[in-house]
Amino acid sequence: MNVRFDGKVALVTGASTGIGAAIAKAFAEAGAKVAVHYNRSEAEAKEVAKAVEAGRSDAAFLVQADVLDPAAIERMVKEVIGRFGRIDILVNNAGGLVARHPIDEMTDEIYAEVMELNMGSTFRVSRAVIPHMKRGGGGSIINMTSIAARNGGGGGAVVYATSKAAVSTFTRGLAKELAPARIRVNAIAPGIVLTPFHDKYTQPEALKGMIGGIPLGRGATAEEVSGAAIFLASEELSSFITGEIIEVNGGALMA
Amino acid sequence: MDKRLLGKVAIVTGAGSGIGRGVALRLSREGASVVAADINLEGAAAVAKEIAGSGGRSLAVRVDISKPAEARELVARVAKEMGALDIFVNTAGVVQSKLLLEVTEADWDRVIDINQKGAAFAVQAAGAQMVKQLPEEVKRAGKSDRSYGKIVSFSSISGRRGREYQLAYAASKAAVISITQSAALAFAPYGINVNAIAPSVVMTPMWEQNNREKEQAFGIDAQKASDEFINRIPLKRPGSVEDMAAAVAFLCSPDSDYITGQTLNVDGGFEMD
Repeated sequence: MNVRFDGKVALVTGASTGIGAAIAKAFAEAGAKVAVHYNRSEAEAKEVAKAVEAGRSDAAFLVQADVLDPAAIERMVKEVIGRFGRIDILVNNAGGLVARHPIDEMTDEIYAEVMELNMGSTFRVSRAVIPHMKRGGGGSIINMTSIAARNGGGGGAVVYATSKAAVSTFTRGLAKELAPARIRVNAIAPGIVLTPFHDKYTQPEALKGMIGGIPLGRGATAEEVSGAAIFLASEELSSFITGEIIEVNGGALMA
Repeated sequence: MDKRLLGKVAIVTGAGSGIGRGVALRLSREGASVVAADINLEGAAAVAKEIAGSGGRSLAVRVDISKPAEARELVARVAKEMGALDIFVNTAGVVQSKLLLEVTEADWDRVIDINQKGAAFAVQAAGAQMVKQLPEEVKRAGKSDRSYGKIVSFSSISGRRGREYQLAYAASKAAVISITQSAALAFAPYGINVNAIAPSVVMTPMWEQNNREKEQAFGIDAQKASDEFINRIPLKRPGSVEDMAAAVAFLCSPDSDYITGQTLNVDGGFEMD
């Protein structure tokens, strides 16, 4: 959709690869300045920042932080504000599955890491950004949940699914709380998206099987998810939508 | 505004007023040729004229959506005159607010015929045409990497869970969610996206009628009823026709090609499913 975000600043966490990278580029194409957050994938993040900047020097800000570290999150947000002065759009995309484990192999450590990586980071980054959004007169928060939030997840992903369900409920509660501040809070629930996520966490045979069950007969590209992010970030397009979770899953789960 | 729908042919039912009119105008602004269909031909013609006035291509057709044959004839006529059908948005519907104990069989039949039966056979007619015009290789493959048609229906927050005073209306709108899902499954192999929108309050003649009926049923002042309901919406305001049209435009654009079978709440945060 041809929506413009000129003069707006977007912070996209986990923007070095996959969905985060596609979203960062989509916002840049629409005129936003983009803070490209990454943790370990510095080379990939630099590529994204380069794409964000295409033709507009200073449109990208590369910022590193381990979202498992609360202090690093505070620092990251301070640095983004120091650079751009404002944050209008927050995409809480950082997250991951960590590793697939059946319950008897699920250790306390992995449980905690999965919960902190997905829900903890969404909570802490939001908390740090919101005062700045309020100062700026409003904004849009877009959380990345998952089809797993509703269906309990694929093999070995129970805790991942649980963390995403928490993100979904957090989205609703926060939407109600921040409505008076003119901050909308929504989420995107992707199904199977063909990104490094599955290269890392899913065996090719298993992936093929999952895709076989999708009504549209294919996995999504990261770009197909970014369209929903643009929609939800735009006051012009979705100003009456808050507390909503958009399922982008090819019909695999209908809500 | 970018003309993302340039070259597309869209039918919008209920186009003579309210949300339907807003959707028709919006899709036209995005470049689509729009067929304005309504049970009230005069209303449809006025919208068609407005579209033509701004340089768009339009046609006005009378349709009673509760009659499956008329929905089929509408689609057939559009396919013949415009060459194809790419987008079908069904906003045609009626509301009824009444004490549950006073709902008659005639009330029920009327609301269900227009809102539920109408939705089912409109989706069927639109889907049939979209499948008919598919390239052979897509029909054979049973899947595609892009969309070959967009169908959007209108449910309501009243479709998400029951409402004390909207027995028939709520049931019919719940059915629209189900119909959307069934059709999405049936048409997925053909790359046809089927979705729905669930509004809360939009300031249209339907909302005014809803409040008048509540006044009759419960004796509360219509304005007071409206204000009280709107106060329960987290965003504390009604939606505009433009809010609905923008959501429809999203569901009709390539940006939503991977979204199907979904009902999008455009409701100011009222329902939260």
